[in-house]
Amino acid sequence: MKSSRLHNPNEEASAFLLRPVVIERVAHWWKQSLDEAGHKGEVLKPPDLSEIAAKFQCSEEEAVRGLSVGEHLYWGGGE
Amino acid sequence: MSTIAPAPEKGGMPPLRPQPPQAKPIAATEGNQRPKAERKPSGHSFATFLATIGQLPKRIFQTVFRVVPYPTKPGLIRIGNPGSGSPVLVTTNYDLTVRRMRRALEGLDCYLLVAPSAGIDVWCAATGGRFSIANVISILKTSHIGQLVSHRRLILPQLSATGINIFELRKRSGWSAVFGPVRAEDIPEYLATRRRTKSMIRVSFTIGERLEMATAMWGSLCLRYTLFPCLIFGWRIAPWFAVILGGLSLAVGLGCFKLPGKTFVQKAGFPGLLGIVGLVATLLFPWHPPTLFVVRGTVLIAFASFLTGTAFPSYSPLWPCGYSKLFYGACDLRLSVIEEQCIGCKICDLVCPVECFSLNANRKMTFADADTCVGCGACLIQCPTDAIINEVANEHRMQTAHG
Repeated sequence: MKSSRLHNPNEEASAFLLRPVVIERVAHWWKQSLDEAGHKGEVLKPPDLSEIAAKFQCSEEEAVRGLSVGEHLYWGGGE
Repeated sequence: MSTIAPAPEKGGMPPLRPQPPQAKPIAATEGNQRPKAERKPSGHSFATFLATIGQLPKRIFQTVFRVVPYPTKPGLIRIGNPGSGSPVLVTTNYDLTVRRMRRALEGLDCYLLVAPSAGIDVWCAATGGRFSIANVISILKTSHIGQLVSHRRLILPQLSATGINIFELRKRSGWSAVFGPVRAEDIPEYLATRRRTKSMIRVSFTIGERLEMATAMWGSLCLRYTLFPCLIFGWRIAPWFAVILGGLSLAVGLGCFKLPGKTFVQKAGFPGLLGIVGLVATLLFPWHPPTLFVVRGTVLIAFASFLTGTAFPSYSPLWPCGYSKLFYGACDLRLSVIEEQCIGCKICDLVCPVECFSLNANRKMTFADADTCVGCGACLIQCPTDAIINEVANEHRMQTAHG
């Protein structure tokens, strides 16, 4: 299998350097936050992208993707 | 390196996978609440029955001539008595889809945003670029839904995943989006549980659905191609052509999994050939039909077989209608997963209308079943780490780069 990142046309199109490990961290954090807030019955405001970017030392693009993954797993997950 | 550990060890991260349904207290909050969608009893009356009867011609038309776009007015529909925390669903402005959605959501409290999509259904519109982020943003702005709800979350139909990238949508609109079930009738259960079972995610192709699509294919083929045999043989041939197309549509629709042949031209050719052999065999009988009738019949059946075979993939939810494969024998989409970029979030599997992904021992997704893949490209678009690539595009790019 071709596994070189240079061969990924998606990446070229998006023109962002995406670090999967950061996206994963953001997703995990956001899903956990949603879970905890759900348990406590607290209001969870949509987080500010720049704050997340600063917190995780990542780009806003990575933050957006991480948030969406976390949310999707919380709200739209399968069995 | 990005990996998701199979299990939390020594304080490591737990696997990032959809959790199984569990009893959770429902937060009465704006951002993360799981609103309970309880179905209320809906009253049916004689007037409703009469209205249904009155709509029958329109519904028959829409089923038989499904190929014709049938737009309804885009806008915001209030279902029941929605409040500021009620879910917001999005669909296209194809009349049949909107009616089915309204019927499925009857008794619930929610908002339904009908986005402009040129009157085309969700999957076709999303894949063909008629149902895109721009269309969703357009309806978000014109409906002023932001003033009616306190949250910023949309539930998109799963089959729109081929055209709407949820990350881009979030960036451009400020609204987050999740994908709901494939079928409208599963939405109440999804809203109540916020979990999608496998049957809600996958596209089935039941006998009923195949019959419906065979009817639609028949109507479309009659509408498009009856003129050609009429120009050659005269207008009296039209009903015969319609009958032949009907028979072949039914045969291919119902027997698509059983008929011999690799391509659908071959599959449709099989019942067509049987028909031709049967017709020619009548010449052996003493009271056979006129030879000209047999010749015309043979030509019509052969023509109808070809049309049915080439059209069938467009009318089935399981086979792509790509002409690359049909005429050149090569598909323009061949996917693979770059393992080191995969984080095992399973979004690819959650948007896949068929089942072609699986988790390997390292908890990475693998493209397990290339034969099952319908080439919709939803996984390619939604993968958050761009771990899924199209090998064909890659090869083409490399060829171009090297002249």
